[in-house]
Amino acid sequence: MKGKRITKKDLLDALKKFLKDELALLIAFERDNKAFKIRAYKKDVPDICLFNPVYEANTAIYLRRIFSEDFKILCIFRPCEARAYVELTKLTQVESRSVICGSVDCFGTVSSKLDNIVFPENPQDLKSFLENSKNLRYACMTCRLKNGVFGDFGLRIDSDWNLWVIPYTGKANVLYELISSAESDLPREFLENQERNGQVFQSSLDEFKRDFDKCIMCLNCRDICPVCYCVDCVFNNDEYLPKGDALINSILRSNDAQIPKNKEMYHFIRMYHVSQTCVGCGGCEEACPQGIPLTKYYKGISERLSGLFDYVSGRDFEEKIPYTTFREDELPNADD
Amino acid sequence: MKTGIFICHCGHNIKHTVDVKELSEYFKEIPNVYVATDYAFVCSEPGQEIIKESIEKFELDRVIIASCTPSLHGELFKDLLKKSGLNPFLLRRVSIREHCSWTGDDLKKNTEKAKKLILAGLFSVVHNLPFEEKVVEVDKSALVIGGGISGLSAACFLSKMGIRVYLIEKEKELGGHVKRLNNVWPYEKTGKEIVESLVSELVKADNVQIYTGARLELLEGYFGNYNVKITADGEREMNFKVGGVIVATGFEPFDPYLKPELGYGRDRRIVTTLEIEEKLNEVVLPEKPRVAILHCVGSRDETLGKSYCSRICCINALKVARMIKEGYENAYIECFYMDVRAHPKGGEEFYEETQVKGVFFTRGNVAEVVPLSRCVLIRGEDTLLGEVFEKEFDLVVLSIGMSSQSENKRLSQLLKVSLDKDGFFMEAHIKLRPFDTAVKGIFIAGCCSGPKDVEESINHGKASALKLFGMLNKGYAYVEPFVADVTEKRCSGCRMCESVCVANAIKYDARKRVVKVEEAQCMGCGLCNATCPSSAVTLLGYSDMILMDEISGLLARL
Repeated sequence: MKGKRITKKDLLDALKKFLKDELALLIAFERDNKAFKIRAYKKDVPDICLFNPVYEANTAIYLRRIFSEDFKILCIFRPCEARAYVELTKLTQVESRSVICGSVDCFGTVSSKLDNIVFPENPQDLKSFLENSKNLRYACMTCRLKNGVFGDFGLRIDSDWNLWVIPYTGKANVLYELISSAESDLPREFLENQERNGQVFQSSLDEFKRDFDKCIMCLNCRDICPVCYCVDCVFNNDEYLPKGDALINSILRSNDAQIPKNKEMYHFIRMYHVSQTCVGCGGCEEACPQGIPLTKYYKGISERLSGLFDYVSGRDFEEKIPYTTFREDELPNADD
Repeated sequence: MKTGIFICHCGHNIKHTVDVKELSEYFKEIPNVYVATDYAFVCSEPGQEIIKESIEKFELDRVIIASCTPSLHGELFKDLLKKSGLNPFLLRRVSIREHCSWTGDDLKKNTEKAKKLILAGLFSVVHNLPFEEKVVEVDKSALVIGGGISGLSAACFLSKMGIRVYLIEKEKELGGHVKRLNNVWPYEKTGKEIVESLVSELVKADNVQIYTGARLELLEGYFGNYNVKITADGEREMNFKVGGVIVATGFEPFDPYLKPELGYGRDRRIVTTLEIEEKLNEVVLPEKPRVAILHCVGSRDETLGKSYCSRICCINALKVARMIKEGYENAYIECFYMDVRAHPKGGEEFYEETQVKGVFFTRGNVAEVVPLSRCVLIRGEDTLLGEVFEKEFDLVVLSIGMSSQSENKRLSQLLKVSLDKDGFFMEAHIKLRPFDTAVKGIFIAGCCSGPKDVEESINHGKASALKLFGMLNKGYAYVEPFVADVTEKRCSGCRMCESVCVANAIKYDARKRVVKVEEAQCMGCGLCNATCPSSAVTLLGYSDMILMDEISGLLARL
């Protein structure tokens, strides 16, 4: 594999050239004083922020249901966001011909709910700042996939703090060809991003009950999840989440008098639905107004279930989601 | 909604361990249940009369029959509802015999369980809709895959009955393995004669197309309307439409190279039963030859993963012994066997006769065959005496068994018919439906479903042909109304259902970005239903709501 060693300025020049096209768009992070934002750039781009330490939501949700083939939408995302994009292309929820999505090395993030944190500007300082921060999100603490090796191209940092752009698919050429630097072999070592907390996810039914008792069925975790892609969820309807007369009917008809109904069922169903595609970004936990530790459950369950099939969500555009395939020789230890 | 519940005693079968009186009393009290009654045999004439009368008297619009398993008397009760002027899909069967009375002796617990099962039926029967069975036209033609003895028999039968037959054979000529047999015991005919009489019938018939050197490339569609693509003579591509399929791909003789310790291929004096049958005249033997025949080569052998008995090789070995004995009166012949399974009619007598004629039988495992210059040495263990032996012979015959066709795996994917663990095609039911596969309109004949002798293969071929003929001859077929149904506005177009559909019934509409279901192709298995995260695909008659209600019936506090 080859790549180009670049400076931030080389990248910006290439992006500016890219945006000359009428139908070209760039979606990336910007740093506005202290605030970090996701934004789209048309025609020109003054500056972008490659390493965004503040997590709001998984940006891939904004790519969902882009079906037009006329645009060229270039995205510079975090690894977990690029992986969600890859999963969405497998599920035909985004027209992959119009979106070119790359990933940047990530140092971990803190919640956007926290104020008054001053982040250093220099990437070196930012990395050590985040690595020592007690505010690092649980999802990032347990993340083992922080390198920019996903999506159509990667923006990576080598051990001498040089920036590299590496194309992974043919689509990356729209950016790669605009970069004037010479192509060369990749350096031997890239920056290592260690997971800080290597604990195994564990819970018990008691703990589960305690945690999910707090759920108010606002469905935020569903709406903000990048891989919860249904246009119409079963929990929008009275069948699964009865309201009004339907609620009273269902209480009278069954032994279950819980209000709201089907709380646990909702989370079980969602855990199953995202159990192969979950990218472990922790967006659900960010969105939960009740502070339920959702990452622990969703990411924990998906890591175990996708591990059964040696599947890593978003690793490869061609890799099929295990639930959609059947091989006679899979799961030899299924009875365990 | 007016529901009637009819509880069957099934003689003593149900009544013995379920309090049927208590059941009928209990359900009488439930709102909307207009009649709840029990009777000795609901399936009997008077039993049916009770149901019919009740339907008319109370104008029932839902009927629950709590009795035996739904697969028993299914058509009978459907007809009864039709006769009573009610749509048959408004019937709900509850199995309180197999699922209840037969499982335990505790009257109290059984009655409790029966109550819950019937209650679950009651909760779900309200969702039953008056579906209509769909009728599709059936093409009166058949594809026969394989031109061996069973394929030929099936093709002959179908052609005589006026069904258009397309017979495809992968080899250059028809006849399969039987054509190579010199002596088809006990007919005293050569295999060639049997095969040629069948082939000449087929060639004469004007409704038979024979393709040799052919290979099935594609089979699409459903019973009555299959689209077939084959290549014949290596390259010529053909497309045609057939109503049904008979798979008669036969077997492959066991490859004796897989047992290298038996020395096959290292010496001309080590041969298989098939070879000796063809070329006994060519083998040069001394005047008083010593011949060893090894049974069970490639059968009943766990080390090869073939635990099954090939059924034909014992009688084959005996036949070879007799052939040699006829040619060489003074021959010393010794058979090494595990136990002799002389299956077909007259086989046991043939075995006794063979012993009387002076063929020796040693129960033993042969561990090694060593060809030397003056003889072929056999080493093994006599399992009756518990002794190790070493004997010299002039000829060693390996009685090889049957292996499944290597092509079966590809075919099974094309036809969507499962294979068993040994690579043979799987019957729908080994005893009750040995000719059917799980796919409607696809039948199996001959050795492709497991080892059979010539007679069985012919019968199997004819029987499958008869079953297929019975289905094709009607000219039409009913399609179950329980097919998948897509609610377009809920469909995200993620195509998960498309990738799990085994019947290729789901098609993606790229313009609307939703899927649609080819109803005639849908088998109603419900995989798409289970896969769809937003329940946009529903199996008619088995929607989430119906199943949830049924479950809440089972969980209800009585």
